[in-house]
Amino acid sequence: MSRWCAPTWLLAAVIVHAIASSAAAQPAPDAVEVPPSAAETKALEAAPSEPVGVQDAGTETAPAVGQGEVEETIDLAALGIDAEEAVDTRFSFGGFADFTSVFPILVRGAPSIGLPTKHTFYVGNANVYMSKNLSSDFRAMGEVRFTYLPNGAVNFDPQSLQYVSTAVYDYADNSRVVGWGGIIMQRLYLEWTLHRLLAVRIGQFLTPYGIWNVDHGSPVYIPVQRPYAINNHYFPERQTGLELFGRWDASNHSTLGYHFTISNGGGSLNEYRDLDKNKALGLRLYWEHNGAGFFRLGASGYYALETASQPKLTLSAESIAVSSTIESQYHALAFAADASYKLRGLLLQAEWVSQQRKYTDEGRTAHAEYFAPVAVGFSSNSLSWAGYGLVAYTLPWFALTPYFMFQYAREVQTTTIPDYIVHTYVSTGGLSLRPDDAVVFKFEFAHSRYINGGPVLNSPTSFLQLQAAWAF
Amino acid sequence: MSKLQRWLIALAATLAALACHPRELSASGDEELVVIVSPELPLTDITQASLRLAFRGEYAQYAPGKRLIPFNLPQSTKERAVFDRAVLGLEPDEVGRFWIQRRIRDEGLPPRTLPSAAVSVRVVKALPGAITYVRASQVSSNVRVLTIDGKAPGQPGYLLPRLR
Repeated sequence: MSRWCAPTWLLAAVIVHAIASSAAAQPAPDAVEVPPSAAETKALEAAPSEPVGVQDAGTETAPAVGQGEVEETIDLAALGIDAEEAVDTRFSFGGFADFTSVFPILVRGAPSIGLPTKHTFYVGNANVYMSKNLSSDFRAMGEVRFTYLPNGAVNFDPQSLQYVSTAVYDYADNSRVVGWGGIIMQRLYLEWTLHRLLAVRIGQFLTPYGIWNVDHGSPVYIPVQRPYAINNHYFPERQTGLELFGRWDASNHSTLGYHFTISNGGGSLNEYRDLDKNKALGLRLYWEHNGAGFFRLGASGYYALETASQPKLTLSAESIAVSSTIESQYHALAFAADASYKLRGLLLQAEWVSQQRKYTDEGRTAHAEYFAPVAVGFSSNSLSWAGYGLVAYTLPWFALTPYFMFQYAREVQTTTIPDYIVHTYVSTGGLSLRPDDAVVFKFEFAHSRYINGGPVLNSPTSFLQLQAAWAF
Repeated sequence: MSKLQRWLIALAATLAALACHPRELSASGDEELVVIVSPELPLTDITQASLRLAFRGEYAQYAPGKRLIPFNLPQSTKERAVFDRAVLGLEPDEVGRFWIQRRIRDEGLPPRTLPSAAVSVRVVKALPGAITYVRASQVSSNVRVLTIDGKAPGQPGYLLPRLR
């Protein structure tokens, strides 16, 4: 062996060993947990050293072990723990956001009114969460979405088709033209946990049905957009009122749970005004099983009298009378079912959602017709439903997840085209990967076709979409 | 010796060095993982379901109106990996995504993470309601080891597998 040989391989071995040691010493990333702060660490270092005392692992009743009775103290405050209040009462702030690039492949005719026909970038969701445990039993939670809307929203009235503009002169910036956006209140409630079997939310909450209405964050749901079963709003996306919920562990592997809601319903002013005397009622029941994989089966129902009206003022010489003019009113009865099964990397998931509408005599009001031989028509009672099935498999490398989803929707158009039933079929295939727990990239192709789509949905559409979504 | 031979020897030596690299997680040998609480708690046994509830950040109580306060060990520890797998059914690479999903649903935040077993034991002693898990050899005075579904550590059917 030459004089250079030994140093060469020894050096290589030492370097590789050092790199391996260094890599092994790195802790795994923990995206959501908060490590002790510097002050906490300092307080911990000042605490007494680890006492001795060995527990006999085979002890039957596992009493305290008396070896090495060392009086120890620890500064809980330095750890941010309130000894008087059991739960973590720190203010929690977080959220999620996403950015999408859409490549339209096949969009022709009327669908292009609301869909992009040219390659487009957009920032979709920018949701911020704020929550705090007020005590062991009370917590407050709020979520808002920041959006560019209503700027650029499409007004679908054929008589005045145009993009909404919110352009104004900014007086604080030399009258530069800016387009203002909006804030959508997603959730705001106070939660009171009375017992494992009973907790109460008062305020505005996401309607507890199915899977992806509550799992509404783009870093969580698998495709780029949620399916028609959710986005058609057969159940209201959110409600204002009261939600009762609880869970009961039937065994170590089996859990039954419920949600019951009473609210203003889903009318146009539902966040702060009920335009009729009837309250909306909702119920969700589910069963979870942790055994060979995780299985959940759920069923939901919702009933409401949905009313849209305008105030009417009647003036006379002696009095002012206020009444209302009903624009639309119908009984809405919605049902939903969902099932999901997860076994290691495999995920099977399906949801089905339906809505029946039965108009009241007073609420079946005349409206303009655009695709009918008559100029004015009346909405018919209807049954609409939609469903989807999804299969996905998560591989161990960067959580690489190929997925396929098929969805179908039977939508009754009840406003501009009475008794007009559109059948929509959408096939979606994609791939997502997570370079980090909090970041997901999605690459997806979706093809939609319509049967009986009429003048609006008269040709298939295809899109290629790339999305980055992240939680923070 | 040719250049190729020298690199082959270097490669072999490197592989040998990697093989001899001490594995941090198995340094302590076989040992039981145990769940501990303060002896002041009226609790000697806990069900698997209650343990799962507590460590999913949900409402789990040890007495009427008294909540259990779970504490985790760092995610890089073997104890944490074994506990998450046995109790929550989660592999280490699933833990981060699991908690992000629960946060978006507003179903709770993860338990607080304490930096070491030594600190965890002291917190359990000082804070009634606190619950955590440590190696049996790290159990100190004035804490109580709980049985799980009536089974003590080491008994057949005990929920938490031995650390290897």
